[in-house]
Amino acid sequence: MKKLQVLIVGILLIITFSAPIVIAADTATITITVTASGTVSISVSPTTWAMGTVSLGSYNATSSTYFTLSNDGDVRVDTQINASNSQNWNLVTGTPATDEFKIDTLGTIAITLTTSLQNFKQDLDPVTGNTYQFGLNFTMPTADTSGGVEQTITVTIKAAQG
Amino acid sequence: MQWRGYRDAIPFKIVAFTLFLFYVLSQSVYAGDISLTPAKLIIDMPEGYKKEPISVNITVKNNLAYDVDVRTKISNPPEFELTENHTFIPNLSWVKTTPSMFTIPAKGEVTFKVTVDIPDSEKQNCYNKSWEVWVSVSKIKGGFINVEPVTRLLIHTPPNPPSITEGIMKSLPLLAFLLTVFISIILAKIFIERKKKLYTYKNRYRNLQKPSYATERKSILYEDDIDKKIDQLLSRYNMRN
Repeated sequence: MKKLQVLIVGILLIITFSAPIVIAADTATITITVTASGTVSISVSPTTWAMGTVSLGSYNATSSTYFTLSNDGDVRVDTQINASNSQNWNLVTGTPATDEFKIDTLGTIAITLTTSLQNFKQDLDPVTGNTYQFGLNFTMPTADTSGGVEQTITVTIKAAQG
Repeated sequence: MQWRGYRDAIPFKIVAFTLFLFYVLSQSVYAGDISLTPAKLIIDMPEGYKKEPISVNITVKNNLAYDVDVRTKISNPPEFELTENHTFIPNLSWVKTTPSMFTIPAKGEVTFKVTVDIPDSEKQNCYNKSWEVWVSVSKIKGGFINVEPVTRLLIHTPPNPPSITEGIMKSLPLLAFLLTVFISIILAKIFIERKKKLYTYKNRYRNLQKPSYATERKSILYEDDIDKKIDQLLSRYNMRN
């Protein structure tokens, strides 16, 4: 009987002292704040580049105003750019060797693309100047071991509120 | 009649050409392929963690005249793009999107859910943190150049673990209730104990009242003795008389 009494008292004490923590977790209110009416919308025109046949070890470049990056949203954006490797070729920043290629941007922002994001056009404002023109320069590998297989490369431009 | 028809046809052609030109021009200044709203989302938890995951909505709009298949992406921002006083989230898998791939109809929009679920085992290490996560959307079949609008998701974890005093203050009504229950149980126990004691005493008393076999036997013997004595006395009396 005594044991039962001690057990009941013990359980009640545990409940009493653990209750505040449990309750604190249950009744917490989560405030979610959303910035008003911000929309991110960017576009690049054209999205394709017909490079034609480019021989190994050479390069092909567009004009420095070939592509137009536009901010069509209602917030100022910062953009970042990167490129992907292809199935058989690797993107490099130095002089390309076998199965390696390089892409440089042309225009006021001249950078060599990597697979990681790099700063591109900053403060692209929807009101004061919503476009930026740029070009690309593609340097081919010195040799191709894939046997002439078509390679798919993607350049990605991300835009986040600046 | 034919001449009149020809004359009517000229302004029609001009209008048609103007409309065509307008169409071409409007297409050349088209909005971004896909747009994301909102541009920034802030999740604040000033009063502590909630048990269930937190969900927020992001709307993606297709500004093109045809259906577009898109996928959502959760990523860390580049270090140079981190919002001031923010860091990377310890684990990107704590943020999920549902659905992660979907089709947006032409000129239509789709709202997807972003869920932030910090495991209970990690919550104790995640107080007073400010994390930035990027939620972006991209076309599954894009061109050579793809654009990805990004929503900056800023997560502000609770400033401090709940203090005991704060917890006690918050749970005062429950504490009072529990205390009442506790006291009631104690009182009930005391009452039951007393009742039990009383019952035992009463039983003992009853037992005392009830003659035992020995006493009964004695009393029977005693009664027999009295009868014998009475008989003796009566016989003596009779003899005297």
